[in-house]
Order: sequence, then C-alpha cells, then structure tokens
Amino acid sequence: MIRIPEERELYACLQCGYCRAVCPIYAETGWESNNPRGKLFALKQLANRGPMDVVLRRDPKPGDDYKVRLYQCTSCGACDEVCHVNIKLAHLWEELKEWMLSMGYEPLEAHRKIRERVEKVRNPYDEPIDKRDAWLTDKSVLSPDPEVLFFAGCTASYRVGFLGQAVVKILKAADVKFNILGSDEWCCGSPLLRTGQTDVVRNELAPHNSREIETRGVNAIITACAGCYNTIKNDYPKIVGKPTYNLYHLTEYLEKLIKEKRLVFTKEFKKKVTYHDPCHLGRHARVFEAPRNVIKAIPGIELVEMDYNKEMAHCCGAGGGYKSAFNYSAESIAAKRVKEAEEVGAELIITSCPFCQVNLNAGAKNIGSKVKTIDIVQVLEQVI
Amino acid sequence: MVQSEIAKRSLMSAVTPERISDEKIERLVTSHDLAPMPKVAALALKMMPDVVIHPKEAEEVSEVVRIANGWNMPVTPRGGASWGFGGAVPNKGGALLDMTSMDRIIGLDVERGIVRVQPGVVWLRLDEWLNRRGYFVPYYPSSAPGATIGGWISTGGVGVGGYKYGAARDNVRNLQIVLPSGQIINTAHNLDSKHPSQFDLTSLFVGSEGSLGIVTSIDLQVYPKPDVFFPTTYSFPNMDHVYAAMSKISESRLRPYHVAFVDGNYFRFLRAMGREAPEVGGILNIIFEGPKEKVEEELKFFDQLMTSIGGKRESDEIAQHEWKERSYELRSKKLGTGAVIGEALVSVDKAGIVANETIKLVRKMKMNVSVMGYLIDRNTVAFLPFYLTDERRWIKAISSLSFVKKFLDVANKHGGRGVGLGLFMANNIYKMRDRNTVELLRYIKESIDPEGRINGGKTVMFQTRYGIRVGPRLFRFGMNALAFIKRLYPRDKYDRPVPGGFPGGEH
Repeated sequence: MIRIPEERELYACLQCGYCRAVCPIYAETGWESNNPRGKLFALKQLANRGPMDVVLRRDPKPGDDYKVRLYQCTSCGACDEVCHVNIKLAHLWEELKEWMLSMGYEPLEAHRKIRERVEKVRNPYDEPIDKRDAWLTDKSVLSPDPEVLFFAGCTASYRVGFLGQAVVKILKAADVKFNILGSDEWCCGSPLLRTGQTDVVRNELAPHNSREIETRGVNAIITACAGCYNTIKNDYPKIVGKPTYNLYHLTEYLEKLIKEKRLVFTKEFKKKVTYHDPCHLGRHARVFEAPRNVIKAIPGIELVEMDYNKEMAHCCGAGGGYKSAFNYSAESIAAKRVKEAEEVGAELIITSCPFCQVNLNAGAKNIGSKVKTIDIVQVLEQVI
Repeated sequence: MVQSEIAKRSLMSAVTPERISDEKIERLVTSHDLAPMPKVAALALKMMPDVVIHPKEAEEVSEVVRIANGWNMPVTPRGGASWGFGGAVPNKGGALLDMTSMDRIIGLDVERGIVRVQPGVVWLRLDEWLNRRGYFVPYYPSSAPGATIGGWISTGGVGVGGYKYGAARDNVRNLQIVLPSGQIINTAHNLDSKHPSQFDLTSLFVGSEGSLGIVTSIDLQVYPKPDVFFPTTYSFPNMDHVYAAMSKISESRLRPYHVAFVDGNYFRFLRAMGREAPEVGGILNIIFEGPKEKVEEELKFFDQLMTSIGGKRESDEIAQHEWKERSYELRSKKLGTGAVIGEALVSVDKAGIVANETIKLVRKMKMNVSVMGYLIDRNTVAFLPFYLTDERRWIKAISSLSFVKKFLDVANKHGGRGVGLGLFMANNIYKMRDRNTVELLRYIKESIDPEGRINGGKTVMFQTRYGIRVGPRLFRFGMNALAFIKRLYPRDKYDRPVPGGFPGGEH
C-alpha cells in the first residue's frame, strides 16, 4: 500500500473549494481535477483504502493521469493564501511531485531535460559553465572587498544579460562595492525543486552555492530573480541550515539604499505603471512593499494597482515548470494578467522576475496588447 | 453495449470535445460535496457520474438534457459543491453538468439595479466585480469565496446579510431554467419580477435544490455600496446571554446588517490548534452598514442594549478580525481531521432551549461540538452546530453522522426545521412538512420531471442507485442504530488536547 506524504492534511481538507476559485490552471481548463481541491480529493481516495477496495480487491494507487494533474500547477501559492484550514498547499504539491517520482514515475519531458542540463552544465539552458559571467563585459567594476555579492541567476546570466548589466549600473550609481560568483555560481535549483526533482538540489546545488557564498565572507547577498530569492530564502535553510549572510531581493536592497540616500534618482519617468507581484517574491517570500516603495520613489511615475495585487495577485502563468511543459496555457494565463493591467489604464507593467517578464510579454503579444512588461531595474537604469 | 455507454457516446459526439470527459479521475473528483462519504456508500449510491460536461450556454444544457432523456440517463447539476447534503452528488451515475463552467457576469442594469449572471459565478467574484462599479451584493453564503450563485440559490439561500436584505428568494428577480424536458423558460417578466402575478415561478425554483430544472441564468437585485461598513463584536460570559441578546435585537426597532454568534467551544478548538482566541462564553458579531448618521445611530443604540445585558464590546481590531473570519468558520476541522455541520432554523425565542437540548445530545453522544449561527429575520435563527470527527475511523465517522439527524429532531420538537434535504437528508422532508404537502411537492416534481432524471431520487424522496426508495421509517431506524453505535464508543478525542478538556456542553 502506498504511503502518502502529509496524509493527515488530505483529511483536514474541507473541500470548500476556496482554492478552486483562485487557481489559475482551473480558470484555464475548468476541470475539477486540475484544481487543488480535486487533487486532494483524488489523493484522499487513494489514502482512504476502505472496505469496498478490499471487497473488490483494488489496490488504489495514483496513475499517470494524476501525475499530469500535479504538474499542471504554476506553484503560485494562491491556494495557500485562501485555504480554509491552513494547509501548506504550495509545499504539499512539491512533496507530492517528489513522492510520485520516488515511486518510479518519470518527470514530464520538459522537466527531465532541465534536470539533465543542470546536472551537466549547472544551468537549465545548456550553456557552458565558463560563460556564466559573460554578461558582465567590464570585470573591473567588481570589488575584491565587496559589501554585497550579486547572485545573478541563470536567466540573467545566459538569457537576459541586460538585466544583470542594469543591476551593475544601479549599484555603481549608489557607490556599492559588489562582486559576483562568476562560474562558481550554479543554478539555485528552483526549477528542480518546483518539479519534485529535489535530490540534485539537496546533494549538489544548495551545498555548493551556500559554500561559495559563505567562503566569500560577505555579509549580504542580493538577487534580482524572484525564483532564486525564494529558493535561497525558503529552501536552502532546510537543506544547509541557517545562513551566515543576509539575503536581500534587489528591491529590498534598493529600498534600503534609497532610505540611506545613497541611491538618488536624477531623472523623471513619466508613465502610468502597474506592478505585477511575482508569486515567488510575493506570496512565497512575502516581499510586497519594497518594490512598490522603490517605484514610488521614482520622480514623475504614477503607480496604479491592478484589482488583484499583493497576496491576491494573479499569477503570470510561468512558474513551477508550467511554462516549459504547457507553454500555450501559460501564455493564455499571462494574457489575462495583461488585460488586468489594461483595465486600470497602465501603460507599462513593472515586475521583478525575468520569467514573469518573458511570459507577460508573450501573453501581450498573443492578444495584440500594447502594454509591455519590463523589469524594475530597466526603469531604474533610466532615471539614475 | 449497455445503454449508459451508448448514451455517453451520444453526448460525447454532441458536446465540444474539450468540454466533456469520461476520464476516471474527472468522474472521481466530481463524485462528492462537502460531506465526507465513506467508500462503502457506493454499495447504495452510484456517486461517480459516467460523464462530466462543462456547458457554456443554456442551449447546450438543453441539448444535453434532451440527449440524456433519449437514453434515460440521469442528469445531476453541480455548482461549487460546498454544501453537505448530496444535492450535487449523483445517486445513479449518469451525466454530471459542472455548472462552474457557466461563469460569466453578463451585465449590470444600472437603472434597475439588477445584475445578470450565469450560475457558475462565485459569490465573492461577483461582489468584487460589483464593488468596482460602485455596487455590492449584500446577501451571500458564508462560503462566498467558493460557493456559486446557482448553487446557493438552489439551496434557498439564507446567509450573511439576510437579516436586513432578506434571503436569495427575496432578491432573485428572474431565473432562466432548462426544464427536464429540455425546454428553456424564464420565471419572471422584467416588469413584474418583484411583484409577480400568476404563480410565483421564481420562488418555486429557488430552493428546489436543482430537482425541477437546471438554472442557466440569474437576475439578482444589487445595491449601491454603503458609505460606511462597521463590524462590532460583543463577548458574553455564557451562551444564555447571547441568545437573550439576540431576542432583544430582534425586538428592537432598528435593523443591523448582520447578527451572528459563535460559542466558546469554537474558540477552544482554535486554541487547541495553537491559534490565539479569546476565552469567552460566546460572542455576538453585529455588523452595521449604510449612511454614516444611520450607522452611528444604530451603533449607539445597540451598544447600550448589549452592555445592558452583560455584553462586553471588544476592540475594533477583534471585530474586524471576526468579520474577516466569517467565511472561515470551520478552521478547526484540522483538529479532528473531519467536521460535519448541521443546519436548522428555529424561532428566536426557542434558540436557548434548542441549544441546551443540543448540549444534552452532545453529551449523550460523547462528541465535540461547537454551535454558531445568525439571525435570518426578526423571528428566526439559523442554528449551525458542527462536530469534529475523525474520518480515518470510518465506522465511528459514519455513526457520528446520526448527530445531524438527532439535532434536527431537537429543532423539530421545538417548531424548527432543518435546512437542506439533498440526497442524504431527503427523508427529513416529513419532519419539515405535513404528509399532504409532501405529496403536493412530489406531484410538482413528478409533473415537471415524470422520469425523475434531473437530480432525481433526492429532495422529495431518497432513492438508491438501483431505484429503490428508502422511506422515512427505514431512514429513522438506520439513524437511530448509528446513534446507538456512536454512544458505544468512548468520548471523541483530538490528536491534540483541548484546553479545559472535553468541551461538549460547557456553554
């Protein structure tokens, strides 16, 4: 008989359906099996081996159909936020994926490839490890005695180098001494943790990255990627213990620099903008105000909120490996979010996650929207 | 090929492929509502549908119903499935219409203050949508974050805000219905929707639990957003004071928006879960809304009234918290892994008596129960006791279900009645209505749906998967037997101790 992780939580679920009403995948497909309530109910039937199963000699176990439902999740955590009985659902989904894989099920093809690449070259993009710091053309900006270490992340390192370059510009403008890990920086492991492929992160990525950070002897590290931030903040301590450094999301660090008057904006940015909370930075890591405070400090900018924001912000659709496996649906979810920005008259969406940015722009393109999404650092580099 | 398989194939060829499924997992996860039914119930009830359909428009529902009729296939409409009487659960398999797919807000008629929605719209979403347009929907179920409009309308709809604005029945202006024949009708005319001449068809369908037809569109009365919305909380040393306070409120000339209570056990459960909760005998939440001057007048009046009968006004912060928690009243389910809720309407002057007899019942059945409820009008209290159970111990869990029946018997004894029949409590209809009236209700059902295909074998009768009717005597015998079994067990316990020990009855 199978042993289900967090089995007690299955019974605690009230089946009230509050999670159903906020699940972005359910909003897309409409199928009960796609929403958290349905997934928990199906699993409870497996856990709850009753007399009928004995009479009919049934040995209930989950099948591939259930596995696919588990992966149809952006790990946005909206279900966590509304759960009637406070089940830690976002965590549960990850545990369940890991459990399924431990029983011999294969991950989805897209996720399996990510794992293979990370195992081989320490990034999900199959790029050479020695090119990880190629985005930084001028290495002279790096300090041998840094205040902070900038953990660039795979996406800024290999796909959107301009984000890393913008961060460098801003840190320089604030006269912050910084350094990077370069080719010693490995993937943080977020895409693997969210897809249940945890062993590589536990055994290799988290210990390596933590060791590299700590041997640099810095007090603080910053990251501009919501996924990296959430992973280092919430997952690493469970794997490698309490860190010796302070972790900041870039927006938290910039908020501090603005308060200390080290970062001063000299130009105006006259646009009506809205802020999209990345799920991994917002709901998962509870960073809601810092990015808003940074945006509000920009001269000339007008910040308007979308109807669903902060804890109840709608997901862009990219997270949890969903975009890599179900791209069409992910972009459809993004398009809905873009429409929300249109409804409040925003000319621009600002976010602080490269995945959200890519997916929201793809969603906008699909519906012919003029509302573009840019990272907060792309705005800041224009006003310093 | 058996007939149900042919029927299923006919439906699958008629409905857009993306909106119909016979996958086992989909059928499994739509085979339940809030009530935790053991697998053994499948011996009597075929709760898993043969096929799940996501309709988008009334015409599509109509077509599905006509096809199902042609093959004698039962049809069950399902909304949010957040009630616990089996009204949205098939008893003979067949086609399940997942009405949550009909989730469009069609439009707001500002002139008439009426919003038209499809039945699958969730209450909270509608309220948010209206708020952005300067309106609000003041009456809704406490399960508003998950419950659908069509589902609640079908239950009869008593809930939050009913004290001032009435129940669903008072606010539904028109329903578009697909009848069991497949015909589409409207229950009212635009001009006289509030004051119908002829038969009041809208009222006939509201509260019919989906047994007379399938609701495909609803016109609801909505209201401009109030200037002020202000919750207050009063704590009392015991529940007798709380019931006395409700009597005083119902006698007063002023009418607050909502009046709700919870007993001290509710907070003991929460403390056992490690949450902060006050140590009180019970609390009363009184919510005010309207123009500022009016709210101030009501607040002053009720503040004096509550204080005069021993109530202590809690801080605004606590009141706000209690108000926010109105949709989260079953948080303590986690304590026992299961919670089952009963619901009865009793007159205000009998609330205390019913409560005290319920406590005796709780002691007898060795259970852990909390009581909450609210005023639904000047005369009536909706009384909602819930008990904690452990679903993993299935015999004990099933025997505990008899509490709901026993509690309804207490309410009936004092002139009250149960709320909700659905599948599991269908036989309770004899406690709610006299025999002649039950015959009339059955006649109406059989006239509209002679074959009993739309949510058949429920509400006005209880039928098993084999079409066997289970009558009230057998039902009563079964429930009494279960109650007897429950009493043989030692007192219910939690995984974690409750401060003060066994809470049953200490009101």
